Amino acid sequence: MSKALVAATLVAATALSFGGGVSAQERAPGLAPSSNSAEGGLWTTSERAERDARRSAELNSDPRLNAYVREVTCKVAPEYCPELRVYVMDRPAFNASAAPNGYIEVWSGLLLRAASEAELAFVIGHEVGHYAENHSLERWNTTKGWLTAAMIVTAGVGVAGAYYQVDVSGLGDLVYLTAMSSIFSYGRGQEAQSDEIGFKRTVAAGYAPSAPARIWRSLQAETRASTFPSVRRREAANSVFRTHPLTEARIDALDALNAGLPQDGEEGRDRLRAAIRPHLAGWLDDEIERRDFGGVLLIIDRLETGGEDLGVLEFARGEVYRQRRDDGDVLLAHEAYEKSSAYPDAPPVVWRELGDLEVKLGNPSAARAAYEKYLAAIPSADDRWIVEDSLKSLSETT
Amino acid sequence: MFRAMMIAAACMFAAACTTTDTRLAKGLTTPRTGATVLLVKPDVQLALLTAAGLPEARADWTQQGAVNLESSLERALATSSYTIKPVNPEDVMGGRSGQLMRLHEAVGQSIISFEYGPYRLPARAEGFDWTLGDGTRSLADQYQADYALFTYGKGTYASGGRIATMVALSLVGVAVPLGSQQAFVSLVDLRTGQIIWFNMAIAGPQADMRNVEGADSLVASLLKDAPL
Repeated sequence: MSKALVAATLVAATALSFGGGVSAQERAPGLAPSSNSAEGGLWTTSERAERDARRSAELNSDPRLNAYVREVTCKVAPEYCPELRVYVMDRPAFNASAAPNGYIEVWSGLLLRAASEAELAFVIGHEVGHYAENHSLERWNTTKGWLTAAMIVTAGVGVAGAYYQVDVSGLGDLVYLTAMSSIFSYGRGQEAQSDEIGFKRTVAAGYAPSAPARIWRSLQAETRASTFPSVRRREAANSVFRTHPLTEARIDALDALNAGLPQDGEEGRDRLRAAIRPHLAGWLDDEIERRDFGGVLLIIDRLETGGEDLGVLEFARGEVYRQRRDDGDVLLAHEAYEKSSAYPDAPPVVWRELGDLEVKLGNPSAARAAYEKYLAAIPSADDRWIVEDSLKSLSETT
Repeated sequence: MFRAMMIAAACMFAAACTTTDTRLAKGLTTPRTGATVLLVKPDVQLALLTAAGLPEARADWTQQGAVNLESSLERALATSSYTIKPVNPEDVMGGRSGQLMRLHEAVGQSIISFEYGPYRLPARAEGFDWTLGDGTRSLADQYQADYALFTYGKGTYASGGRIATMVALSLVGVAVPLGSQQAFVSLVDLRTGQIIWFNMAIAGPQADMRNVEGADSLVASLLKDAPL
């Protein structure tokens, strides 16, 4: 490569290395962008997404739950409360999001994984941080700026390459990758900033300052417990293209913020549990359907720590083992269903499942007793005829 | 699609014009005189094409485009023998009607992908045969209507930076596409659910839906082959 080309490349690299810091000024409440701005465009796009969310079959229709999550949101974002719209979505994954136009989604997967209201408040506070700092707009402008810079540099290098007759196609990829990794690392800066904002808002609302670091640790533990190797590897991987890295760095930062603070804030475990109780069984079903059994077992363990809802939780554990079908899972499922059936909140289908397992384990009299309890519990069950047929064949064989 | 692109390219050299690419269901019966047509409020998404080619949504153009397309459609159909009933899908999103609106959104996207995109569904190689199912009768009954006309507009307009990029890169022999806009229209027979006609128009320079005259010109091209 000639000296001139090296010089051109260096200039190009310098041009690419400008980078914006994240601003420290939170947006004033009640602001709306003008309709001919980039932010106005982001709002239009968000409004379409919000419209789709409102029509979605996954929108949770429990008014008490939605009101509860909204209440928590308003605790961590009192100044933005009137302009925020909160939707609980029945979706089995740890997620929440805040769109630039003030529409917030909180997924059931998050509500199931937060150990307390304080943890939920932190994640919502984190999302409010993105909203308050106009992160979507910053990110959009950064992406636009970097891609334009990359295009100019690529064109310049291409012209220089043609002039000096050097193959610079590899350099074009390098420029592109530099731009992309800058955009993504910019995203990581935003995540760190939102963690800090979320932490401060959580503490200001009177919640326990240990909750923020704890929920990230829980998520880290769930990733490690995953059935899927790709998910377990994701935790360890340190690619430049990661915006939500649950690295030790983020947890350390939250620990540092917590250090030295009085540990007297609220957790609000009971309030969260009371709000999600009617949905526990359905949400756990959704989680089990994803077939990440290792992760779900950890979630069930965590939900059981308070000793509540054991009928529902043990039943879910039984479902995990029944569907996982590893060696010894039949016995584990049987044990979990048995435990579940002893609690008043056990779902009646636990008897049918027990009946099926007793047949498999060669205990016809126990199977018959279980099936009969099932039919007594739900006389109008849709599958009554199937269970009756099973009972009939049991009496024929014995 | 290729044909449409060739026509579009030809247009750039000849007189500037709006090109259309129409699909008509087989064995079609043209709507009888006096039939009632539901005019569903157009769904529009317009964006600015930045220097590097990212589409940046524009709220004002999107809003203006939707308003202009709707009033142009109303004006164009006012002279026909049909009774026109405008309806805003946002108002009917609950219940059965909302489901049908969403179903049309999904089927419309499939038509755009597989009738106008680079790939064809093998099972749909012959003729234009798409339907929402006869469940659309509930819409027919609710609105006392025979047909529904859906419109979807999208596109980008080059920014100053994009035009500068085009000029600069053309000097070194690189072609940079500027923005383009398309409009799609779909006519549904509410008694059978069949999509009897579908049309796509690529807007020419005189058919800018952001202004009233442009929207009129675009709608005129769009409805040119309508079986209405």
